[in-house]
Amino acid sequence: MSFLQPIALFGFILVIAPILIHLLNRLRHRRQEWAAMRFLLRASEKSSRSTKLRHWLTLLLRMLALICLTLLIAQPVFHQGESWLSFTGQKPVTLVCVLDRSASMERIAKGTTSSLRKLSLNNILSLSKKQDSGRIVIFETTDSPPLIINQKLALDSPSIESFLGPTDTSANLPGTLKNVFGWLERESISNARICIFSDLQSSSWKLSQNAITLQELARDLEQRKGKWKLQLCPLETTSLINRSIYLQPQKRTPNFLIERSQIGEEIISIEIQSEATKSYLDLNLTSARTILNSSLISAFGKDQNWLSLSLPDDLFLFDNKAYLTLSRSNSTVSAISAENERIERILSAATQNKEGKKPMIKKLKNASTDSDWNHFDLWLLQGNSSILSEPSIQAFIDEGGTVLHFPSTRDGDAIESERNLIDSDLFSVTQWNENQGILANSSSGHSLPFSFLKIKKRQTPLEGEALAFYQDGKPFLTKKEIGKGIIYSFSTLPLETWSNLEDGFVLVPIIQRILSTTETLSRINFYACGSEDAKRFQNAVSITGDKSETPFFHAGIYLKNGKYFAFNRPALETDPERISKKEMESSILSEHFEWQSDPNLTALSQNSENWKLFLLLGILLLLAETYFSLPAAHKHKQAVHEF
Amino acid sequence: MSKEAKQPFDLIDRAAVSRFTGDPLIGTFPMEGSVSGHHRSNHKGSSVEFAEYREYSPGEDPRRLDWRVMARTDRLFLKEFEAETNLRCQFSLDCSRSMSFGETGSKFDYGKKIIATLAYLFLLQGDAVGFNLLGSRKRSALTAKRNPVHLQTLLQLVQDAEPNQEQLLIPSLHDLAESVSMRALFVIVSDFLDEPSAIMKAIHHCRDRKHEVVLLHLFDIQELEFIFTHPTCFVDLEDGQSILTEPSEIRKEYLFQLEKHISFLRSECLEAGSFYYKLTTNIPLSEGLDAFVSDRNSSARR
Repeated sequence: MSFLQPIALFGFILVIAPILIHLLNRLRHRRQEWAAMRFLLRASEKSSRSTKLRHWLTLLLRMLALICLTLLIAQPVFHQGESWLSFTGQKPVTLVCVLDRSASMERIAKGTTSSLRKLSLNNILSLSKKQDSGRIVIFETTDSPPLIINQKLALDSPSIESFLGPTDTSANLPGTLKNVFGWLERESISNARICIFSDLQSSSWKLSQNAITLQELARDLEQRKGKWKLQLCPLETTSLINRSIYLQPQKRTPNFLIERSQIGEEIISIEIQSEATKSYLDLNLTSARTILNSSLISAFGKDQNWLSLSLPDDLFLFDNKAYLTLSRSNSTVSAISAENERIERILSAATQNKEGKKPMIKKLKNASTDSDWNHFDLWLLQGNSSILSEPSIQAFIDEGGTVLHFPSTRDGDAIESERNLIDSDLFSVTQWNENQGILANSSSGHSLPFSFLKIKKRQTPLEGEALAFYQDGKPFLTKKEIGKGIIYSFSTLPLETWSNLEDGFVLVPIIQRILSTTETLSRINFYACGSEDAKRFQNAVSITGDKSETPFFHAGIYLKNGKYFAFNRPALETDPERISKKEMESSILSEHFEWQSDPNLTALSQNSENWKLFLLLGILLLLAETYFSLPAAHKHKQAVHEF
Repeated sequence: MSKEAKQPFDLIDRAAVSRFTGDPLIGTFPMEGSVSGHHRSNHKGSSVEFAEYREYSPGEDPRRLDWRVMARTDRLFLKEFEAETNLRCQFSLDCSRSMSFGETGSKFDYGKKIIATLAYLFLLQGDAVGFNLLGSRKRSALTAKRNPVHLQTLLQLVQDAEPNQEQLLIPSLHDLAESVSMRALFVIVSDFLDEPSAIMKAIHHCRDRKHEVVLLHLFDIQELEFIFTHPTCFVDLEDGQSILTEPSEIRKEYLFQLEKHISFLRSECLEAGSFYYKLTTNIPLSEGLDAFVSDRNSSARR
């Protein structure tokens, strides 16, 4: 048991007040001369036993009433599974509100005109008003630091929108809950009520993927024996007619997908805005899903940096827009950094793009500090593999850049094992994927001339998917995808001492095919709000000029280092599938997990109701005390009437 | 009542006198008076009230023979009539210290007024009145006399009485029974705060001596109601013993004990052929004595 107003416990001193009053009364007795003393003595003798009993009982009742009064003011908080007589130093209950701040929470709540998010905030506000003591902490799904509300009125202020306003992010509520539990553990909070406000969109919970996490959470709840209580306050949206548009996350050519809940044929006018123009496209929607393919994008996005597609307004505005960026140039810009000048020259000749533009030459030693990396799409690096962990190269790869890596010429400098070979024991590439990828056969069916490739010296390439193998099964070329970027790693060098790659019959087709792939990828830059990628764009500026918009939270076109980036809400946010109560309860198997449809009836009320118990008890004790006091006076009158 | 009586005659309650004058105060039992009066005598006399026929014995006064009966029956019969004589009323006032209790006026003062008023009324109808203090060690008895001048002496004696004697009610009552030889009406004014069985033994003693006994039991209203709200230390007026108690808690038992005492005295008096009256000092005497006078009147009608 803990107390919300522990200072009121000093009121227990008042318990001795009835004893003091009794003693004082006896001291303040009046003196009365009396004649009929014989009756008095006899009465005193006979009634002394019952009188004393009643006396003690009255005293006890008065003391108990005062204890009740003290407890009423001290407001004790009882914890499940804890004895009432346990006065261990428990802290007040901390109210942790977990707010689903995903884009789907911007839908209109059932029976209201406000969004699910605003309804949640109202519920948090009403809960916080019930919270007499203890902290109120708000966690939300964008992984922002917890918002500790010390001043309850702060929730009323409009500035809360800047902290808990609408976003175009997705949510991972099991992950957020894990963070909450971790925070509670770190803060050593013994008593907490965790209220989740969510629309229960399946994509926000991903029950099957997060099954282990949820089991761990349930186990944690059980271990806490009710001191931590988890309550889910499901929010329901109204079932209005809605249309949504989103970008399908295709690796190569993205498609716009239009979904609608309305059945039947419908003609809508889509507003397609680009950097320079605004045009409208009338679409005849006949089915629930309509795909706008890349040809349409090419038609509208020619020589444009970005495109935004807007559906006509409906009640759910959050899902009516989608954004896409396009590269103005159709050819890939490359850069070469090599420790060997001959290699540099060979690679430069092989990397010439279709416009005949030669790659930029970057000094390898400056590569780690080069901030110009965002101006090219392919970076050929020759040198120690440790160069790949340099920040600028990492950033280049993360931004979707492609790296073609060649090993270092220095013996013993490689992190992988190196092996010198003699001429009689040349390596040859015998296996590669001829059907797809950069080593695929040409359209005319001719395969790459690997049979002419003779390799004298090789080094283990970087770890990754092996695209071609030597006769001994070791990789010749690997491919590794990191984020949006790709690293291709060769096991040998285009040097005479290493191999005959410099002849170009294998190297040039491979590099040109990589250039072609990179070109397609670099044309389209789109990211999902709330993703790890979006976190790197904190300095990006929205093209609308609104400084409050950040790519992490808000979908739109952003400009960073002269490049345009499109940020869209995650596609799954339009998914109407919801989790049922049964599914949720079977995922979090704990008796301390509660599905609470009415957030106003959360366990917090249990604490606030305690004072009523003591009030009732106090009244009952006072009534009992009156019963023991009053009847004497009542019978008194009766006796008088008899005479 | 609150005003202290200055003169002996002030003890007589005018209102009571004016109310009860003319109402005969008659003894219930036959009296042995020295002169003719309103009260029934234990002797046969010459009144108009026929008593009985009795056979003549030689030596008796032949004038009382019923000649008509002798003529008819040839036998000698005496025709006897009730004798009527005066009454000796002996007033006794308890002068124990408990009688001094009273919030507005003491029980002792009230008792004085009763005795003074009744003495006046008895004297007025020609009866003899006497007075004695119960519990007093000094000689304070006044023999019953019917001389109106005697009233002055009696009233003076009553007025001079003080309630400062120790509790000697029972021996005093036995002494009284013995000291009055002729039949008399004993009017005992007391709070009877003594052992009730001992009191009744003394009453029986008086009855054995052929005396008619009337108990006038005096109470202060506080004694009857016992309403005290605060813890009180009660100090006994008799021996100074004290008890600190919460009156509201013992009140019920106190009233029960009091009622038990009263009931015992009342029932025992009835059994002993005596009369018991409960009087409260806050009630005017004219009302308080009403029951007593009524009973005396009804005796006259019988």
